[in-house]
Amino acid sequence: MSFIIDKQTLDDLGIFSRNKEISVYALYNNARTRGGARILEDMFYNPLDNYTLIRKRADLISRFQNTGVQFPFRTAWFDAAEFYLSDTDERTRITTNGDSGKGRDSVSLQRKIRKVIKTDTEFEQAERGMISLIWIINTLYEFSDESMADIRSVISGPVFAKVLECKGIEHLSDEQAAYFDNLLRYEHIDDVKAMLDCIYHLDVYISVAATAKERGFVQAEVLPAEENVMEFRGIYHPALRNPVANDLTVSAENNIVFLTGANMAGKSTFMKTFGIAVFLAHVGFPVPAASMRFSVRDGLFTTINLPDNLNRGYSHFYAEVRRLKRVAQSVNRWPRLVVIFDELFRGTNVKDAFDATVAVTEAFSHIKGAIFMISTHIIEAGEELKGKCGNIGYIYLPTVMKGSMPEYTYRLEKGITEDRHGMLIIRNEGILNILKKR
Amino acid sequence: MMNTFITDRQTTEDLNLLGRFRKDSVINIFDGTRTRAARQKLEEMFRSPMTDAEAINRRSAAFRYYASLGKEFPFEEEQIERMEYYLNSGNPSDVLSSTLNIIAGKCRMVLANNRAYEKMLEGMGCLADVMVKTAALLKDFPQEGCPDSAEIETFLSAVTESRSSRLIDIASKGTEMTVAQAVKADRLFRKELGEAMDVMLPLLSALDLQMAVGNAAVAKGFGFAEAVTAQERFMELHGVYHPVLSRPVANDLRIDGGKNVLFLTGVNMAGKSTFMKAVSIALYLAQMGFPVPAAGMRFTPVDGIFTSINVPDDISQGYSHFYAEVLRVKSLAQKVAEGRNLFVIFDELFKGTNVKDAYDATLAVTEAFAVHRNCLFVISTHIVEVGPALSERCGNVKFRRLPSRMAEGRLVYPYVLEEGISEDRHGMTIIRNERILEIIRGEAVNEEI
Repeated sequence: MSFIIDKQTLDDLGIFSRNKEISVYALYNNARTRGGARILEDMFYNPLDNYTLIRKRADLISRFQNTGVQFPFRTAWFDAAEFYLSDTDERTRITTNGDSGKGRDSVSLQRKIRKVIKTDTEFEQAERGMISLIWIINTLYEFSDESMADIRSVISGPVFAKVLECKGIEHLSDEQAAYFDNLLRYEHIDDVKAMLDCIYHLDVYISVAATAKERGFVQAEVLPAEENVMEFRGIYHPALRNPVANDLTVSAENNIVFLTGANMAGKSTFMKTFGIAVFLAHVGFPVPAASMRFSVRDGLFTTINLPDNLNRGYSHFYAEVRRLKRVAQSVNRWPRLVVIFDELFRGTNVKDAFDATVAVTEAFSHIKGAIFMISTHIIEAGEELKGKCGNIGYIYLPTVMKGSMPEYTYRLEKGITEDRHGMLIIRNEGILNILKKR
Repeated sequence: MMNTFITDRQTTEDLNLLGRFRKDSVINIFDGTRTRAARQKLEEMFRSPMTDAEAINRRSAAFRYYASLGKEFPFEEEQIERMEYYLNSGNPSDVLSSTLNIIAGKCRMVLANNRAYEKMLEGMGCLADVMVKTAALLKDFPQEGCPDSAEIETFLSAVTESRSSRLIDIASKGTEMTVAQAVKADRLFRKELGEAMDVMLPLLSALDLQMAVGNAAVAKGFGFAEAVTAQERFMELHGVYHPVLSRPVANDLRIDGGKNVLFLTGVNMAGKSTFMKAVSIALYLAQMGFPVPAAGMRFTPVDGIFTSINVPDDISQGYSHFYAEVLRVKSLAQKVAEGRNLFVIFDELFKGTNVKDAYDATLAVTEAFAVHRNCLFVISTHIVEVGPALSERCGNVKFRRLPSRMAEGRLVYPYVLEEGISEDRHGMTIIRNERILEIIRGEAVNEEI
């Protein structure tokens, strides 16, 4: 079992966004190697739902963050090594003329001639690959400490003795080439691949630790699933240039967060901020916040930018209902989800949206193990819910008038918004006076 | 005094009127023109609708004539261009220099293998061909109602004269003409037929344009609008529809000085924007004297059309959507207050704010606009509660709605305008049909998604 997340959620949060905005993945992807980038992507697609695994990964990153270790390998080594290893064609296997047979003599002679006129690129690339691997293994050996005892014992064993002997080698003789080709690409390929995989993971942890250090991200404190607590201090959106930080506490007593505020007040941005932090914490990565504590959840479902499926004849409202249905089913299957709904039922008229918001929020409020964040511009629904459910926390994003212009603080406050600046703005602009018949 | 028609970029964008290369633009419907001159004229007409009823009806009658004629413009752009190459070569007003030009051209061709001479003769051939074909086409034009009869008459009498027609015949040989023949033909075109030539070129582009527009009207099944000069302002449309939709639904509508505000309600997707665009496009085309996407239409010309359908947010200036809407309303309020006779559309006023604000603002602003009886308004909203309040306060508001119905668990939209204020409330029905609340409570498991 892994953390439940779907494409709509990844898109909403901009985890791997394809458009102009900076994706969360891009923020964290400062890996030096292609293998590292691949592993990071894999981690992003598969967040964890297990307390122990999250802690383990988080601790590793914390350690690198504290020690400030640099990635000791050069990127070019891995390109050469991977290219070399990817060629598993038997015909490219390097042999010496020490073996019997006339044919082999001529192979060796051919190679010697080619070497002189510098056209044996195949051999040169293989040689480059092997030398890169020798450097990589040596560097790994020097870098590894007692926490990587498995790897250390493999490298220091008899199999890789020659590799350690040849530390810093620049060229291989034909005999050496044949020996290492057999060792690295054939007989002990699995060990070599395991080492590379280990290095790619190192790359991810070191680069994420560096990113966190540079950007001031912090490691979230992981709590067991049973508690259902999430506590954020100074949480902000990592892709914004001048983000505003906010505090929020969600617990079993108020596991529904009811968010109101004018358009532009920053509701969607805050919901994304919340979603991204929950997501990153379950990947085991540092989060854009001053501090964060969270109970491990089963999954995350967001509905922020729901695409209308007009060519299938669905209205926006219908698209919302279908999404809601999916989430409703999931909430029953996995009791500890985090669910985010931005502007529930914006695709319908006011009365409908009011009724539907109240009915659905009330139904959700009975699922105590999950966490819900619901935003709406129908503030009246909030008043209605106050009388019906006890486990809702009300927050809003305020609008302040600066002269005739509305301004937004993006700072959360407790309660339901009462901002009603619309008529004020219209009066300030003198529209009704302009239209008055003289 | 004649007023010039006023509109703005927001309106032409909302209605997608201009832009030859834009998909589904209204101008594209009519752009079957073959020549550059006609195309330019079409664009110019789109940029400057008229305000004078008589002028509108005159142009409209011309299009109607060509629509019923049902003839295709017989030339391709290339042919006209080759002909123009000849007419623009040399000095058209000075026959002597033109003659010398031909002879010099022939010499250059013989001595230096110069192609200009051949191109010129080819152009003459094209011209002759165009004249013969134009004459043949025009001969069959019915006299009655023909908007260009004077020009046609002038042209035909000059061209069919026996010496002219003999020379034109020779010129149609093009490059096979001798130098002497070319000189004679050149003299004919440049001097003897001077008047006919002056008439022919504008006539050709006029024919091209009018045939293109007339034929588009027939192909699309458009009707013609009648502009009326009357004290009380009104517009009356029968079977109006959006011209670029593949299967549009037609509706009837009348707004006048007595009921100068149409208050339109309906759920999202019910077709409010489309209907408003259809009416605006029809009026805009009618003011150009063009065929309209309606079975019939009568109207008093307005001085301008302004729509507010897709108001762009100006986030870069730090405006919220609501503020952008307020500024748009303000600028239109100023135009209305100037006292000109306008047609104004507001789609979903104040959608960028909370419900209470949107309610108050929509009510106050609609009421304020409504007193300007010389202007006609269509205002849509999904805040249906504004309707009853408005009907109490203003006597001059007409209420129309676009309905939606549940059919087999799906919402369907008939797009047919009905009287009254929308009361459609399918939201909770759908939620109940989909058993959302039961699923959340865990009472309905294993349901298909």
